[in-house]
Amino acid sequence: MTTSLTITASPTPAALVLEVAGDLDHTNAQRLRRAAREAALPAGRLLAVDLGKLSFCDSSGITALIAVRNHVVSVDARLVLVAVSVNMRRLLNMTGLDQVFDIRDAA
Amino acid sequence: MNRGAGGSEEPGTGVPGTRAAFSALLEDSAEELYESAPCGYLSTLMDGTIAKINATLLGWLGLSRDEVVGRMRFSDLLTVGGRLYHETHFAPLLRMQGRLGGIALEMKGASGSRLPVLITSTVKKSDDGEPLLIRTTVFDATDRRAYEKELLRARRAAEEARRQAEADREALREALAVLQRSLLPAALPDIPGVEAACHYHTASPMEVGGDFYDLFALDGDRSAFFLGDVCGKGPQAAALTSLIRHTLRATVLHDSDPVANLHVLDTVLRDRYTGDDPRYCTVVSGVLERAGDTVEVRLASGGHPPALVLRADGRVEYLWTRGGMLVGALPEAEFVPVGTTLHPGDTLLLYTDGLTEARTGPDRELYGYEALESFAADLAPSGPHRVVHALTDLLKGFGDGLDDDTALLAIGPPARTDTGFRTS
Repeated sequence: MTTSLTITASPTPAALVLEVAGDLDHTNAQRLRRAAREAALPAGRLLAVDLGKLSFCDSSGITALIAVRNHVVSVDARLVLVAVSVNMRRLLNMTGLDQVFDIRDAA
Repeated sequence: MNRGAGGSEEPGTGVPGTRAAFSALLEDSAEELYESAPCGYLSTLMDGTIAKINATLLGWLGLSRDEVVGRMRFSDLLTVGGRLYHETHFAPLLRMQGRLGGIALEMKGASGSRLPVLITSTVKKSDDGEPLLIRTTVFDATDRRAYEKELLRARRAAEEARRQAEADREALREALAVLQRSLLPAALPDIPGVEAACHYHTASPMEVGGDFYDLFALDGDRSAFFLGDVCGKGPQAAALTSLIRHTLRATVLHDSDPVANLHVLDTVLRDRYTGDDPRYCTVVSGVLERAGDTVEVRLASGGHPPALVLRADGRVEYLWTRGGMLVGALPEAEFVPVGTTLHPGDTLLLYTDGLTEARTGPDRELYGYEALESFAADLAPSGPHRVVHALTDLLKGFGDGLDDDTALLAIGPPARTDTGFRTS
């Protein structure tokens, strides 16, 4: 049932895109945090986390997204979540995180 | 010239037979081979009297030829156990079959030492088939016995390790169960004018779950409750749960404004767990105030699924708290208050998302809020015990579609006519 997590970073002129695909859970959420920490994010740069191929996200995944946000804010960069699925959006709405994350349809 | 088997071949002796014939010269005495063979030889008369024995075996046993030949029987060379086995099994079988091989026995030496051996015997017969004597070869089995003992010891050690691991696992399970119980009230208190029921579903006995709830009296007419879910599982989640419970209990005693209580909790959690390692919970926390036979509820939600009310008239409604944020992870978090009046027979249901996030059916669809609402609509009106009982059955029915811990807490003033149970 589970699909392994892949995180792919691809810089574009507009943003650094992190595509998160597969299952994001307590076994691998740390990798998303690390990917964001190691990303080259000068002040003002936009980090777009693409969740279009995310198949599952548990509370550790949410924690990792919050940690990514805290990191981005601390380096004065900006964060958007793109291609957020219906289930994920429901989870973000329920936890009030829709007010914290900038959620867009595309980068 | 090298006498060993691996000696170099001399040039000009390339014919294979030459070398073998030369080697045979080194082993030209059958008598010497008999006496000094690397195994024991022994011939006995049919009554067991030893007729001939080689030097190798005499050496192993520490006996002289004069002591043995014509004076001792084969069984005299054996230990008591060996003798018994020889008389009851070995000798009769040998007489019957004429040959017996690979029998393990123990011989005893002159000094009282024991020698584990492997015995093979054949019966020599005369031309007309009359048995004449028994020829026996004796192999020193000390190494083999030691090997068997080592195998046995290793097996015992492995079994012991497995027993220990099983015991450790049991001890850990017990410790986790105690820890889990310490995070929940042992029993719900008796609160005048309020019925309450709860249930905790543990997804894994080897992991402390992250759901929690509590209900406790504040003063004569007021009591407080909370129910929530911490991020993660295991010991760290248990530590977080402990901090949340104690903080909430203390702050509610001090100030009965649910939104203010969640702000205090938020501050405490953010102070304890900083930016790179955020830890949070979703929680519903509230206060009940009894007024006659009704109960006023004021609650606040931090990112938690909405409470559900089953009315005495059969209606069902969610107490939506959209916009409430999870507690402990975000600066300037906001928490959303909501209130309602519970009349006799109304039931307030709090739950964690193990229930609504359960997977059902062949497509493993999310159970969801709509399904819960219609389940509750079929149930209403129902008192807290009946609601929790029905939901516990529902959770069981999810089977492995329910892979998260789930907490349930139902509260309500008893129905006017009976204790809240509907007889249908």
